[in-house]
Amino acid sequence: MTRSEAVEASQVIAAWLDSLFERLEALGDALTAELAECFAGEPPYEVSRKARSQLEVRVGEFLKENPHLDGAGLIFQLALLKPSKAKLEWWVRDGDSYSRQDFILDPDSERFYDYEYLEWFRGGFNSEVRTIAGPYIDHLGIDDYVVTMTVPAYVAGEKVGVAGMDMLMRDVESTLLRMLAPLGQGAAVLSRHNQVLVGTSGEFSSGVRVSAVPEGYGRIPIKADQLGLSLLYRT
Amino acid sequence: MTQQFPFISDGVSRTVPFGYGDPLADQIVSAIALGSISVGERLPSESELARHFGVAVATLRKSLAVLRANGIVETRRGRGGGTFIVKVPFPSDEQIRTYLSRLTIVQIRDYGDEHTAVSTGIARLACQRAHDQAVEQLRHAADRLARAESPAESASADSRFHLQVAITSQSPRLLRTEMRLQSEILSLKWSRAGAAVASEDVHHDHLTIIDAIAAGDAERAEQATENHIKSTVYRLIDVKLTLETIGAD
Repeated sequence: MTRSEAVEASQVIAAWLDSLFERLEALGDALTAELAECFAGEPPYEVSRKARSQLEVRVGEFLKENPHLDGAGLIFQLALLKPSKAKLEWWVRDGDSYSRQDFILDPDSERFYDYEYLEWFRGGFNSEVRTIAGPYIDHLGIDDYVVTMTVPAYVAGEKVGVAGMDMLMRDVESTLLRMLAPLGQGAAVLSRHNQVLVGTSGEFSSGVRVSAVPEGYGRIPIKADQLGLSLLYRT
Repeated sequence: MTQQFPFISDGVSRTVPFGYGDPLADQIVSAIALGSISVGERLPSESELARHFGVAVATLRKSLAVLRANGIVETRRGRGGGTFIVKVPFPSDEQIRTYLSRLTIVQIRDYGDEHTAVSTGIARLACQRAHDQAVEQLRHAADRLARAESPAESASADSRFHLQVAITSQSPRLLRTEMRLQSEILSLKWSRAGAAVASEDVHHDHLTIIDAIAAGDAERAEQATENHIKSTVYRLIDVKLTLETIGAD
């Protein structure tokens, strides 16, 4: 495989990711615009029923337009929400339609979804950058093997959380396999932690870490904004 | 799982001492405590369950309501909705003694064998696949145990730590298996009448496992995991033998 073929594949992947993140940012803007009233004044805040139904319509449309995504919505910093009313504004694909996803946000519960420690929240919220996290098992979240993408979410200039979207690993796999196909066997998309998202050999299967570039392989960055991804290919 | 819901037979459930005053509820709880269904798993539909037990749906609903009131199950709506097991019931000392006296040494040892095989495998994979943030998440999970204030809370924090190691291994299948194994052992491990493990010891073992994973040292992680399980299983067998001796007097 020549370097130029790898560069070409990396550009296809970068363009796909850029377009996904642009759509996510547009969704985030549209969703947070609905929250100006609910998030006026000092925290804790509560999303009103009216605002929630508007969010639902937006996310529903978004999932319809993006059939390869599993779920999307807004995730707030927990401290900004009224403890008894805290909810994540998240909807997931459900057959031909979608449904709201409940998460357990009571820190004392055995099944508390401790999301503020997860990479997608820390990246989108703490570091305020486009973040792609995974593959990971979203235990106590949507309980599936996924990749999550997030961007920071602001209401009237105040950082409140992240807008995010999930792609199930089976969809990540089918999409990236197509993009990696020109490179043949032994190519892989690596996360910033050198973890394989998708690769075209058993050695580089999803979730495996590639600590060093093996002999006979090359590695180039995938130039999608700050995501830290790279492409491994056989030279 | 809907095809052959592995409820333990009557013969076994009689040896399991959970008393909610509702035989059907007790039987479901027994299945959870023995690991036939794990925390996080969904129960079959009400009609399937009712058919399985040969009772009316209304009767079954009453039993599920008992479990819901005791925080054992929870009903969620939406995709993948249904009734889920949310916690392993924490039994009384007396209940643990009754249970242990009826378990055989072979059953306890065999549990330990399976747990060791699975968890050392998980530890090895975690060593190969953990990155910095995954290690931080493990430390965060371990901190929960340091803050726990009762055996039941410690049991929950302990379980979450082991599940986090399984999450680090990147294997959804191993995570499910580890969930089942944790459901099965937790109350026996943490009850004062069971292995009565000390929170500090367990926390220390967790930190050893984390350090090994952070260093990518699979051998050390496996060894620490194996020792951790072994000490619980040995204690349980000791307690069981003590009960035998008392019973023989």
